[in-house]
Amino acid sequence: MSQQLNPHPKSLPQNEGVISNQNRSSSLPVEEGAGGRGKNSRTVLNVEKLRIHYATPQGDVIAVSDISFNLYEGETLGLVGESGCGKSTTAYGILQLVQPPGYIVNGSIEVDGTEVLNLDEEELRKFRWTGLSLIPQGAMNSLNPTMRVKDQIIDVIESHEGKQKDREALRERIFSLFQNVGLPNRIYNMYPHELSGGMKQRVCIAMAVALNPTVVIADEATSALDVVVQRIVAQTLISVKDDIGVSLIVIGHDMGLLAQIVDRIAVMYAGKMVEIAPVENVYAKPLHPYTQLLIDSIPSIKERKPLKITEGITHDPRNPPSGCIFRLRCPFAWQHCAEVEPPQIMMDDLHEVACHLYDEHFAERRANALATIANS
Amino acid sequence: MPSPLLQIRDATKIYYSGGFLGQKKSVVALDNFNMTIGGSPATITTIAGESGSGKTTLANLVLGFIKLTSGRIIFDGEDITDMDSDQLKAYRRNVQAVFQDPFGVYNPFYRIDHVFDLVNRHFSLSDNQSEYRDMVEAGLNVVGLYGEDVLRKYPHQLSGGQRQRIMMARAYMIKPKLIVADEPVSMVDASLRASILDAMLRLRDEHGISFLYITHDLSTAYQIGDEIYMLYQGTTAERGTAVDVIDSPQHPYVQLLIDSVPVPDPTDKWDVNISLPSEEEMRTAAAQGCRYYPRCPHRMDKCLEEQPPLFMMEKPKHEAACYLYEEREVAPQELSLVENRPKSIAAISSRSRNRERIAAAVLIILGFALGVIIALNREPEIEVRTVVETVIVTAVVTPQEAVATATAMPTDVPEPEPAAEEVIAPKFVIERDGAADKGSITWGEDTVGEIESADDRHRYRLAGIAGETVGIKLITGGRGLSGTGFFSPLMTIYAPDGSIVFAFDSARRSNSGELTFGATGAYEVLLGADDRGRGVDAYTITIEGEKPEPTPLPTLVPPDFVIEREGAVDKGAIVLGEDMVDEIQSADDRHSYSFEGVAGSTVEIKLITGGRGLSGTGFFAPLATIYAPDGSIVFAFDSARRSNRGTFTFAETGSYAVLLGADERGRGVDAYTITFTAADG
Repeated sequence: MSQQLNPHPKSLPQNEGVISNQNRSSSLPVEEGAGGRGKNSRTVLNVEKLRIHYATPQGDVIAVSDISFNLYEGETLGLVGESGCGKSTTAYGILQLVQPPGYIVNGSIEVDGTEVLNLDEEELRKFRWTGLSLIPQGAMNSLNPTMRVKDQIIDVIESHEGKQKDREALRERIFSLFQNVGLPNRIYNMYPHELSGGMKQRVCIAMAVALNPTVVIADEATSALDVVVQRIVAQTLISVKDDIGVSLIVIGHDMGLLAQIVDRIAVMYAGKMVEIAPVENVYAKPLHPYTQLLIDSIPSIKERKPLKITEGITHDPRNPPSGCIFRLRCPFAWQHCAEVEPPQIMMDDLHEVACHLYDEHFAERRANALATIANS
Repeated sequence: MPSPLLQIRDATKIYYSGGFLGQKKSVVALDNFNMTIGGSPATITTIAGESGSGKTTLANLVLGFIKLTSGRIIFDGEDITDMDSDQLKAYRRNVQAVFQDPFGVYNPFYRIDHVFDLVNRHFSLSDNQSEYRDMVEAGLNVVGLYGEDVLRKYPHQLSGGQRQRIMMARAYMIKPKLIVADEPVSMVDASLRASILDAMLRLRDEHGISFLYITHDLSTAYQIGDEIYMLYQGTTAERGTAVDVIDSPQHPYVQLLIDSVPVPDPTDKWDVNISLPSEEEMRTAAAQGCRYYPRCPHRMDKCLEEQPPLFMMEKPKHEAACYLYEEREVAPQELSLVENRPKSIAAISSRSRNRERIAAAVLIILGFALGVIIALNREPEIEVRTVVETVIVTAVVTPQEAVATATAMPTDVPEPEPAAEEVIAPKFVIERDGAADKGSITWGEDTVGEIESADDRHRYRLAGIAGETVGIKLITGGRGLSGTGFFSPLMTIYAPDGSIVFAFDSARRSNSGELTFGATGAYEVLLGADDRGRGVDAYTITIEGEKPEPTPLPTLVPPDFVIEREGAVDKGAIVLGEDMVDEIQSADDRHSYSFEGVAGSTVEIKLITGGRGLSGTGFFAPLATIYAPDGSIVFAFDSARRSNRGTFTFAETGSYAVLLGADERGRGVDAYTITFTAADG
């Protein structure tokens, strides 16, 4: 049943690494989609075996290690993990914005049937912001301080659609973008420094959706904001998503915020995808020991509970441990985990997890582990 | 009853900015704020609020980095505003700090043990090496670390959580009574936060150290905090135990804030969308009334009349400043003031003792009036802070053409100066005008720059010849970070390749040193307030050294950039005329050049980006940035624009700096060509 992933696949068959406990077809059935908003939707983004390295004089650092996931139409997918786990690199990989010395080793990124990795420079330029767009981390610093808000948005539109002759229509279009993101028209002629942080963030959202992209990736789009403003920006994101009908990937580390706005969550650890599941499942019954740790360490304002400290050993990213990437920090690791890399196992409810505990061969071990968790 | 550890009374801090004479703008960062931290048992007191609520101002006031406009801060019975330098040193020993950015506070050049060595040197903890090592080890153990794992490492080799705990260990070694922790966990990953919070709890419970915990994260305050003060625009909206306030918030603002904390439960989602009123509405906030009025769903006419006092809620010590609770009793003012107080405030405090139950309105008006009197008494019209002098060793380059042209060597003087023998020193004169710093930079007889505040940064260039050594002396005055051991650059010297070769920081005891140039080229000196804008009231920087041989003038041709891709790494060269003047190792390399701009002349700038830039995204990512002689950005090219062509007219004559390189986030630039051509005229 269990099957080891080939870390350096030459060819990239679809969904090769996903195996099923229910003898289900290994590729995700399109009509099922995710829970909630993603239901009955088709796949708009399919990432297969994406692998990204950073070249260093001491050898390559594996930033993203053969990760695979889907995004369904109209869905919001959360991508979480600690800093350095590769979540932002994944986003930049999808957008083909990986900077040297980073480079994509292998993988496939399909958006609406278009293989992004096969696009040439000009096609890619056109594809960006119509197929895929990004709300970058620290978006507030992503606006040119010497250009007015309108000029930056006009720049985006004209760089894709050519010079707009009808200036009045262009203006109306920008106003309607402002309306989408809840910005007042008077900022049209303003410079970025005249806006508050939340407003700048919303200008960036407006720019990202200006050309009706299929997929928008928001990289820590709200993390620098106050909690009330963060909520407003998060609401803006979701309402824009619903109004325009884009699919959204939200990269973040705030598990509270993600619980509020996403439909599914993909958890990354040290470049690996360790668990993907509908959001309700992740919070109610996290399967992977790392996800359990992540859920456990969410500080609550509902109940005061003892702090759970887990520093653990972090490995050298150039020289990852054999077998499971998390085994050095995992409370349940045993010999098998050092020998065999866990495959992505498909559980019920579209819940995928990369952990040997969920291999039917080790059901007894799983029962013990669950008992340990229940007792602690 | 044990005397309180820290008392803050009627603390007001007003920042002034800009404007002529009467038109000065002022921002009240803290408004008649009161707080008491008991000494024993040790407690964790949280100050929470959104950015701009005054919480960081409060931290900086308690740390003595800035001074109150009016009011008092009393630590262990002593008013900190009146402390002399010995008392201040003792105070620094008792009140330590842990800051937000677990990377920025470390000098990247030194190993971790340097942090502890600095502490030992400054606070003379122990002369005995083995005893000192034991102290370091004990400090690290308290926060769950071991010396052998961390001491010989460089800051970048540790996780954010480890760096933050080292800051705690460092503070612990000095055995302070209070640690001011300003957002210590906000930049650390969730799964590592608990270790820092646990270190705080252990320092509180096992070592009797109290914390002033500044945060915007209510959930951590809820987990470890004892008392909490919720600030809104410089005033206390609500206070009480963290559990009482967060479980049952009473003030409408605090209710919104707590309701906005995302609940980590997907089955309990936000059911309503919230919005903020427009800025216009926000600006109508009345001068005297409740600060929250423009946003408040429960606002009443009364709220505009005067600021609401703190009313007592059901639970003991739980108080909220809102007229919704007008029928309740006004909380008594804590005014157990100490005897040892400065004369200027004696009048207020003797009165204060009897006014515990006087109606809040009277209190506020009285306090306000007295505050104004104090402010007036305290503020001299113009205080000359310091005169700063810089001698920059420089080769004076005289451009033959009075047109702007790019050159890889510095051209330091604003006007062509034939006398290459004469070393002209820019002179910094900073005067205080009210609370704002005003000043100028003079070069010879001419004023070349204006300083608007101590935050202003200024850039200069000096010509370095490989093998030459210059002596550098930096004298800080005022309330620097001295003694804190934190890194905060006052002067940074960048080599021609953009790498940092010298950094002075306000924490070093002796700020003099030497720099031997590794390569011949234009070195850039950045002078200014420290990175966090803190602690620098005045400084003197002097660079002195052997006058170098005049540098031969390079041929004035535009530099040519050739970048080729070799595998995943960019390789290339910058060619000036026939000579290769620089190598490019990767697209991350940054290069800076300076060129002479003559007021009124125009250059045409063309930038061709190739490769997978951010083109089409519309996001800003500077490829070429031009700085005016005063350091302001006057032109910025970015990789997102389609046509990277423009003309630029110099507003003033002087040395303009151009920074070329990969975009800010280092993304997307495979190759680019930049050509500066002098336009007609």
